[in-house]
Amino acid sequence: MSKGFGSKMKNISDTNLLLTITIVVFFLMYIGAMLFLGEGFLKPQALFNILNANAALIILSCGMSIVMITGGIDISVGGVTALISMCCAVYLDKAGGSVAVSVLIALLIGLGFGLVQGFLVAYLEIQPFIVSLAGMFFARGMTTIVNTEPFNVANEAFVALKNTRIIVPGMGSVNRLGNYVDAYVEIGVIVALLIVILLFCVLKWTKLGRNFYAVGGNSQSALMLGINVKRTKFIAHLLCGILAGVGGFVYFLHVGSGSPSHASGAEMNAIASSIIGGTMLTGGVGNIIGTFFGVLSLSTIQNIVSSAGLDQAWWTGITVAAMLCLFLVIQSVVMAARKKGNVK
Amino acid sequence: MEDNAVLQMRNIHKSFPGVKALSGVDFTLRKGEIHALMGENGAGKSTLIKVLTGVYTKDEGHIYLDGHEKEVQIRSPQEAQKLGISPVYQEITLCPNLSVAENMYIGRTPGAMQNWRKMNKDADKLLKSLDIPAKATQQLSTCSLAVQQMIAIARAVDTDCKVLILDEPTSSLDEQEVEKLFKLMRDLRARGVGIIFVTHFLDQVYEVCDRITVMRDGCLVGEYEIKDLPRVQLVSKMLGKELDDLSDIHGEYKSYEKKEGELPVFEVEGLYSNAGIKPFDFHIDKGEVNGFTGLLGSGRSECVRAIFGADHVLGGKVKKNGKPVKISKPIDAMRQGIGYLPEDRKRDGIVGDLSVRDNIILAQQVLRGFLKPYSKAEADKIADEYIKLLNIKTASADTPIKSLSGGNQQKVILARWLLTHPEYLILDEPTRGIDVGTKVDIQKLVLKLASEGMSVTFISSEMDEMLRTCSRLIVMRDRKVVGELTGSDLNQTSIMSTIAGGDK
Amino acid sequence: MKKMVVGIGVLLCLLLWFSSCGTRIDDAEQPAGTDLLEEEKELVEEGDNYIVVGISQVGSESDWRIACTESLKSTFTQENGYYLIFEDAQQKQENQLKTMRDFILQEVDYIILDPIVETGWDAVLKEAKDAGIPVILVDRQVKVSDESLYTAWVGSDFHSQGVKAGRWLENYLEEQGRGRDKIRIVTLQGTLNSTAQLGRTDGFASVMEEHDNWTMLARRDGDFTQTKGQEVMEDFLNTYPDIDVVVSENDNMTFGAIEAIEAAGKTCGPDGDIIILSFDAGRAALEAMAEGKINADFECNPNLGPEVSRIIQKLELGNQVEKFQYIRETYFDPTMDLESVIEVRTY
Repeated sequence: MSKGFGSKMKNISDTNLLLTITIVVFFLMYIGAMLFLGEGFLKPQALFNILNANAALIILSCGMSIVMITGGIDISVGGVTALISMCCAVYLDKAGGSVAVSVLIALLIGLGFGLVQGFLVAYLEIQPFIVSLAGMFFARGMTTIVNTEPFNVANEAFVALKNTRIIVPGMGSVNRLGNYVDAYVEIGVIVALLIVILLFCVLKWTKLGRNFYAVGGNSQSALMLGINVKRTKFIAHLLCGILAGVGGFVYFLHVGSGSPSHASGAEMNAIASSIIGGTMLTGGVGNIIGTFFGVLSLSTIQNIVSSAGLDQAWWTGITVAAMLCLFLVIQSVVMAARKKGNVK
Repeated sequence: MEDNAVLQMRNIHKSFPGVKALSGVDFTLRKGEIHALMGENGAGKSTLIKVLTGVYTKDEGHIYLDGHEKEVQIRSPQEAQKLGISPVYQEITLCPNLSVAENMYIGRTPGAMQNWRKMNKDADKLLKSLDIPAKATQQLSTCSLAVQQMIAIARAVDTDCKVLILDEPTSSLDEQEVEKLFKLMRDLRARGVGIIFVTHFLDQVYEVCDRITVMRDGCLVGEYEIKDLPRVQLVSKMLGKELDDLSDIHGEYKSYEKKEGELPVFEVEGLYSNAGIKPFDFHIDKGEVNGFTGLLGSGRSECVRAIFGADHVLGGKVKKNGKPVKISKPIDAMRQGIGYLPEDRKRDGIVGDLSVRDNIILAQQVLRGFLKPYSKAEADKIADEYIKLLNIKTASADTPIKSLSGGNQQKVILARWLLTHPEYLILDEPTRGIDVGTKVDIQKLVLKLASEGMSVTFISSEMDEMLRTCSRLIVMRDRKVVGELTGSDLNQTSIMSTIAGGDK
Repeated sequence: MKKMVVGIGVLLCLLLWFSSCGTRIDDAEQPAGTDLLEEEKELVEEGDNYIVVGISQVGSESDWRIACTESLKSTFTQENGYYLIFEDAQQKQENQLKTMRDFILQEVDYIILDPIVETGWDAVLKEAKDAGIPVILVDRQVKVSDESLYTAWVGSDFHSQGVKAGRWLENYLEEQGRGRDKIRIVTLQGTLNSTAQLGRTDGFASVMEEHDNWTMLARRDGDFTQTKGQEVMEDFLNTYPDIDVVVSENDNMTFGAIEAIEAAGKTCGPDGDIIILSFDAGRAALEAMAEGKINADFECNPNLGPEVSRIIQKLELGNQVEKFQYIRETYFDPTMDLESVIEVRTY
């Protein structure tokens, strides 16, 4: 490492360094896939399909990242998503409601979980893992109570919304029949992208966002520096809950059905995406753009695994686990190297 | 009221259940002054600071700021901050994952949005004016500890503080870093900031301070101008000993006769550890009792811990009976025949829930290895033997050690090490918190063991004890060995002047 | 920071442009309809021509399912001229939808789908049709607005299986002289809304209608698994003291039911307290029947592979195929020579 690079390394923050690593790895993977695994990746629609399938996960992961940055965690988001999809499905089909109100229901459910969990973690100082574990069981249980069987929603307005395609001009491709098919994304993707941009701005340019980092970096110090630590943690969990509400509805829009087994493992995927995206479990480091690429990376691995002819169900898990370990190791090594370079 | 005073504390009293921490303490700080606050263990300096910074509320007394007539009430840290009292603690209370500029401004700027450009500009300006080698956009963790300390100070200063409290700021800094810090402090002094410098480093106080306030046992001993207070006097005021006191004592026991040409049992050259002590030389002969003395924090415990391998040894040579040996962890030292009674028996000594018997056989069991455990009969025999030998008052050998009194706990730990039949025994504050009768017992025991050929290092804050038992004293100051006293030099005056050092 | 945002944006655009470039080049150089994977390109040069088949399977929740998967995998091998991409959906419809979209992107020649549930397929089937990829359904069926969205369906006549079971019970009770008795029946149903469950439940119900003296005490979802089947049966035994007949809609649930019954101190089978009717008739169940634990088992043939392959070959030649093709199935009970059947049972 030359002197010049060394000093540039000094100036980049932990967050940005990890972000860079994530993005580089993602592009390497995707370009590698394009070069070696051909067909499935060579159309822009492949990337859009990844976005379509993961819009909800992107939103949930953003919420998870924020909570992780403050040093906490929320493993109830999967359960909340399932609960939202079941409640909205029941409301739309069995109670004959309107789509607009179902959106409201989703948001209220998410808000409710966020409020209660945030209060327990921030003001009663109970471990976030325990609180959200309870939340998860509660949500999953409630889902089955609301309705035991899974069913697809037939409400016309809803189905129309679900099938709405937003055309991305100029990115279409010609299929084997010679027809030009436009590239498209679902509504959920637009929502996800808007949320990513919004949260990025919040974390970077508002005091609240910076407070999240401070509290996660050293909550004692943050307190001494005049930050209201309790309120900050509360808002982080509240935000995660609201995002679980939004993400839950986007998920519901994508699958079009209610089922007790929906979104199982979603919270783990959200955590994995956050970590791959450069959010550290210990708190204080993390960013939304990285999380976004973390989600994309997770999906790309899935696609690479299935294109390579391996049984996706098993090999994806193993590969993701390997990647997580790799990232955790990279994170610790990079952090340690930086600290060593500083102790005079 | 003094014109120049930026802070006046009068007649401060503070009690906690069972303990009177402050008894009628006065303290004055002037504008543009660096004022040292010193005192040994239990003197009350940290309580006084906490009263000033709003962590505690005083029971009685008055605090005046900036020459105002009316006194102020400081009920919380936020109120103290608002009044212009800024503490900077020993542990850096900043966030390592944020940038330098953020750390300087977070939590105290108005508005909901973050204006990076303005913040970075202001920060750079401030850093430059205080000559701190850091950039506003750098991440805090990439700065050295000294610089982080200075950034914390810069933040405090920027809040327009009148009273800057530096609580042990130099403990983790090396010499060059300390110099940088002092330069900053002098700059601030020139600007009229009043600085309270809490420390126990003697040399540093004389280098940078204008005045000193000495406390002892919760009372004010006095406030002095540095130029009027010779070092020796300062040391004597801190220890509470009068200069003229001569305490020359003979031991009751015959000392071990050293044979001609016999090599020291242990010899150490240039040893230093990660605890911050400067490399030191040391030797001890067979049957000799020596000791380490100096003010609190001068590095006495750190030296013996380095010898025992309890801290991470970074360099130096150790020789036993003239042959080089390697001691990098306590088990190595134990195998070489060294035993160590730690200073903090609650933390490093007793295993609270284990019985008296188990605590006694612990060290020796480790030496034997886990494949050769003591049978119950063996263990009982040993326990009974030592309980009788040291007169340990316990209901039975099975009683959990934590239910014994401090003195008896200490005896059990002593028994543990005696069981290993060490050639060299290190006792760090063995009589702290123990009744007088037991103290004398232990002192007598030490001399008896020495007469039988055991080498002992005895560390104590009480000078009388050391003079009574040691035949050689190694004097330490500011984590450096500054002298060695034997024979006729073994009196309080010599000790104190060696500790004080410098010009009189 | 701004630089970073711009940088990422540029990279993403490059990525998309690059990937769309690839498509355009492909189309220019190759005629439509011959998009092949890398490996295939080599083989094409050697003179071979693989048919690319994408299969989206429900999962691996029961022995029957595993047997069906085996049948498919062993049929669509490279020796037989196929390149197979197999995806296990782990019981989730969203996985199947994603898989199908991936297949469409990869431009496979044929898609074989075993739909987890019946509804929700209209959109993706239309996409496949627009992309010119024929879809063949196996085992379970779909409810769509436009029947032309899929080319063919191969599977069991589940309704017929249910009816057979009803008729068998009728005969058996007559033989036993219980034709007029009050008969109390419980049903362990398969995954709700799956074609298999709907068919078998309705089929049996149609026969039940003819008998006033038959009462259906309860029907519950056993999810086609042994564990759930056992749980539900335990519940039934606790709630209803006198059960005469258990209709268990697959073998795995039957095993669970047998465990529950024996644990409760009762017996089943021809010499037992409770009559058990099962579906699938896999080897393990037939062995249990030989031990006297099951009264009758109605076969569900999982060997769908060869039939599907025949359909594909016909389509390749440009011929028409029948829309619905039922596979041949029968039933078994202890009056038959079970030993010889078990010997040759492939699943």
